[in-house]
Amino acid sequence: MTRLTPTRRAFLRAMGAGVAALPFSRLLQSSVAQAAGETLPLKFVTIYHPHGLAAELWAMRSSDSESAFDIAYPNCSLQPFDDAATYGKSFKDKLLVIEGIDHLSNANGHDSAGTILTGSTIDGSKRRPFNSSLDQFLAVTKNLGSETRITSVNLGVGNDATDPGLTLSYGDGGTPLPKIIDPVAAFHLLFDGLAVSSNPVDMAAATRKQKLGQSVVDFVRWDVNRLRTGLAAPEQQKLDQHLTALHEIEKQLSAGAAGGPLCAVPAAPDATKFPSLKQYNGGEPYFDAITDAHIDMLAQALACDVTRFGTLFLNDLSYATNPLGLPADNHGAVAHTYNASAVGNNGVMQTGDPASWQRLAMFNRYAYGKVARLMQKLDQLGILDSTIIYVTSDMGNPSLHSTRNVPTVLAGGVNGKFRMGRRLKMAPGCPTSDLWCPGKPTYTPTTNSKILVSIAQAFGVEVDTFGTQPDPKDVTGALSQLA
Amino acid sequence: MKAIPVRVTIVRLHWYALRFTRGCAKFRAMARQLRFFEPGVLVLPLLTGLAGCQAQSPGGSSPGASGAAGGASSGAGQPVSTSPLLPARIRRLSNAEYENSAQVLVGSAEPVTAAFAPDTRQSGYTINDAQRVDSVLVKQIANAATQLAAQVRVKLATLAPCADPVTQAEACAKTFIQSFATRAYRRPLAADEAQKLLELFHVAADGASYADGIEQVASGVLQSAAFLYLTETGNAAPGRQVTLTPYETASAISYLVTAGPPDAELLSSAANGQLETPEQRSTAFSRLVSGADPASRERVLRVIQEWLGTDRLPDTAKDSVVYGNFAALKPAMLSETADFVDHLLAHKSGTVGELLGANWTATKDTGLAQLYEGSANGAAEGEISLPARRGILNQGAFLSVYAHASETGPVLRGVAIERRVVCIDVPSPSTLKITVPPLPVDSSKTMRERLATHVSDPMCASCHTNIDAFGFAFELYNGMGQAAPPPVDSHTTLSVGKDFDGDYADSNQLATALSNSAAVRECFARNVFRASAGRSDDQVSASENAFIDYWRTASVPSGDAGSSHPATAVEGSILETLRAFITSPTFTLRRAQ
Repeated sequence: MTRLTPTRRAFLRAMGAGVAALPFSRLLQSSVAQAAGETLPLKFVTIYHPHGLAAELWAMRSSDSESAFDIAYPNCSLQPFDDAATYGKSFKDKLLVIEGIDHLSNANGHDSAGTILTGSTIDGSKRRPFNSSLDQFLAVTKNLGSETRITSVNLGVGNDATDPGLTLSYGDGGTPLPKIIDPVAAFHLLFDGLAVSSNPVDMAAATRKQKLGQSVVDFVRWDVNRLRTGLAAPEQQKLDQHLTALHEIEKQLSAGAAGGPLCAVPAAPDATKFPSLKQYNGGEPYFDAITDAHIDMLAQALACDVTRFGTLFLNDLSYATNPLGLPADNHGAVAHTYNASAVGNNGVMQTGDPASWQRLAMFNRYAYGKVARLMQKLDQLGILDSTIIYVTSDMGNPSLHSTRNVPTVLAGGVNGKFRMGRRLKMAPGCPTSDLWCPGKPTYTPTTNSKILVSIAQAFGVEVDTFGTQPDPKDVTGALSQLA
Repeated sequence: MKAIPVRVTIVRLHWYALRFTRGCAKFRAMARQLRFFEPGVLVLPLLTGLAGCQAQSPGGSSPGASGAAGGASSGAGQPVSTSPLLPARIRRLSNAEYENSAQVLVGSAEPVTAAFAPDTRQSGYTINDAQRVDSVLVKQIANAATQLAAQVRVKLATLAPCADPVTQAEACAKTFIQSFATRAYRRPLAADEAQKLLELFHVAADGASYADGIEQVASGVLQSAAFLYLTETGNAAPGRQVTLTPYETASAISYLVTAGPPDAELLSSAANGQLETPEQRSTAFSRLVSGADPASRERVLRVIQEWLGTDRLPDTAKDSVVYGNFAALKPAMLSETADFVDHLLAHKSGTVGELLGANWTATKDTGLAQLYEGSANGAAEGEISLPARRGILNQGAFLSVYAHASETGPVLRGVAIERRVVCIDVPSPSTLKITVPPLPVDSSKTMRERLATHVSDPMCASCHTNIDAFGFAFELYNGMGQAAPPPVDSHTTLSVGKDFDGDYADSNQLATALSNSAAVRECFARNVFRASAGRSDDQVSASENAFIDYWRTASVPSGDAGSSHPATAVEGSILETLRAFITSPTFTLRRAQ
């Protein structure tokens, strides 16, 4: 798939052709590729943040143009992307802020997270989308995750439920995929067995661990096949997924070491920083620490080429004395009290309450700060330019639970496939005078499906549609303005 | 205008999507600006003319994919089975079943499945024959197996004793493999299985220790297919009708009743061919549900919670400004369900009728008793008598789960009653390809007035006339089950073509009517089938109907003296309905697929 450059060929020769297929040597390949200035494989991270958007402190202002804009003005929620003092440098030139995208979930705002990576309506009775998500489509269906140790990883903060409102990643037929909410568990998944010192005792222990692990996988595979033999085809399919999953353990086991300046296996997260993990069960005060741990590990995992596909489901900081100084109930007292002006209300004229915009913008800024933290880490590791980060929320205006005009941000270098450093504004999907336009013949939304098609194309996967909607035009075509 | 504090209502018409924000003057201004938008045609079919709320067979709707790259799948093309038998199949253990099985095997108390990905549900139930092992779960299972195997090593002296682990290692390992894997697989071990496990032992033990080998075998067994999957395939080749093996029957009974593996007595019955007749299975059932602390307790509670969806209570949160005491009362609401069901089965009629219509509850929490205005005075031991509240649908768990964070949810409650309690199918807007646009804001209306369009618009009315009629009865209680402040309008008239049609002042009167309804008892039996069979799609609806036919006349077989439950299955006995599933003649038969 990837064109071999002379540098990589020389490296492969040095390694010996047979060995080159092993993950160990592939990890080294990546660092050689980077040292030679070769294009690194594209990586895809999706970040969900709750509570929609205060559009008043996010949208383009009259003084802004597509390529010249100010996001550092007071109270602007996009400030972290232009804040060198905090994040080392400004990331304005690695940003695409897109206004006017609609999530056609056909469900209430809270179930609309399931639409973000699927472009699908949510099936109300099964409570799931109708098709797989883009990360799984690329990593599994299109096999782009097969080269890495972990095909894809889904991380979350505080809530591991797989409801459509809490899940970004879906397998075939819209089967929700679980998230890992414990940073320590995520660490073990991503890095176990990867960091091996050159101490002979450690190396011998690692070799034995690998041997024992592989023998269990071999035994389980034998046993699954033993059961599979006598079954009818529909039952065999259940076990086929198990066999595929066993290969995931195998991939993890077989990567013995990592090398090169790109990859520094981090220390395991300090579990004492998050004695509780779960939302509604005492985890809230630790969400910030959990989020940072997830982000730092994700950055390292991408740098080590442990995986190329990740999702991160953020949460809010709903507890008394939260560091944002927001009311203890972020959901009720910030998102639900948002009182928009026309810009946050699909153009419908009203004055709104500026204090409520600032509260919500403060939360938005917190979420974007986490994205900026990820960008800073990726930049330091030399892979921001070969990464695309897709950031959005389930809703636009959260007090309306509106799934129109959702806050869409693309970040990273995307290997030059998208022209970054711009702000885009899609034409309104319907007349501003019509508050409940969706469903009418005059409704011509710009859906997130177009972004999904564009991202797939950036990976070199030639699709023209992505998602499931009653009207096929809503899932068809790329967002041409991105390139 | 009403004399209550002004509420600003920001409303979307969708059945999840009713929200309001407690308002201030600024919101009133917003509301005034928006009021000129009057609702027009609010619900628009996009592609099809499907307007009605006509019943559909469960799972029979097709997604209507637009053929997009995400790969929507469609089950079209497979003819619907008319067989009364379930298909020959395998089923992965649910997380609770894995936990129980592992704990029985290793004798440990440390839970290992807390971090497992949640079960994928079918029709709300965790017993689901479509459950898979995906790339995330496979690692979680591997971690659990490693953890459990380490405990086996700690307990080496009891689980894998060996007088001389140096010279007798292989003989001791063979003994351990026989005992451990036989218990894990819930059936005798085949020779090739024993051989593979012995090889696994040697990989770890050779050049190391006996204990290393045992730990390795335990880890392998605990993630093996034979442990993870229950089989219902008999011994026949694929393509034929099969009879379950005696051991498959033992597991089927055990997991159904106790969510755990068959105990020694059940396995011994299997070995002696004593689970073949309905009488024999009934006797086994009676043993598992009897005693002071029956093994069936957790399982029956789970079936009821999954049936009513109240198992979502731990993940339900409320706006702390509106429902300040919800977080404090939530644990009490959770344990109330368990205590209520326990008491119902151990000391009362044990019927679904009393579950829905009881004039008592069993909470030990004074705060919750206060919320219910209940009293222990004059009540029987372990009970709180309730002046007005009736049954589980009017308890905190159900009322909180089926409500929004800051207000009630008549549509949520109505849909839940229709789908779960009275078995009236309510298609989702997505299934009907209806796009649901938002309603305009109006601060001057009550919840019932806000939903008036549901009745006036014919498209909405086809479903919402019934949904809302059920849901409005519960307006008596707020979003966490507390008596709602006046004015309360909970009166309702039901006309759904069932035996409980009529006029009711509120949800308590409605609950009493439901508790006496034959239609509700049948619906409960259907749900017991779905919770037990692990399927609810149209491929098994003939099997479900066959079960219902059997259930109507099922009684405790005369050979079984173990039952003392006063009501029969058709009279609504919860345990007798479960017994009917196990004693039905098709319980041990499977069709080819």
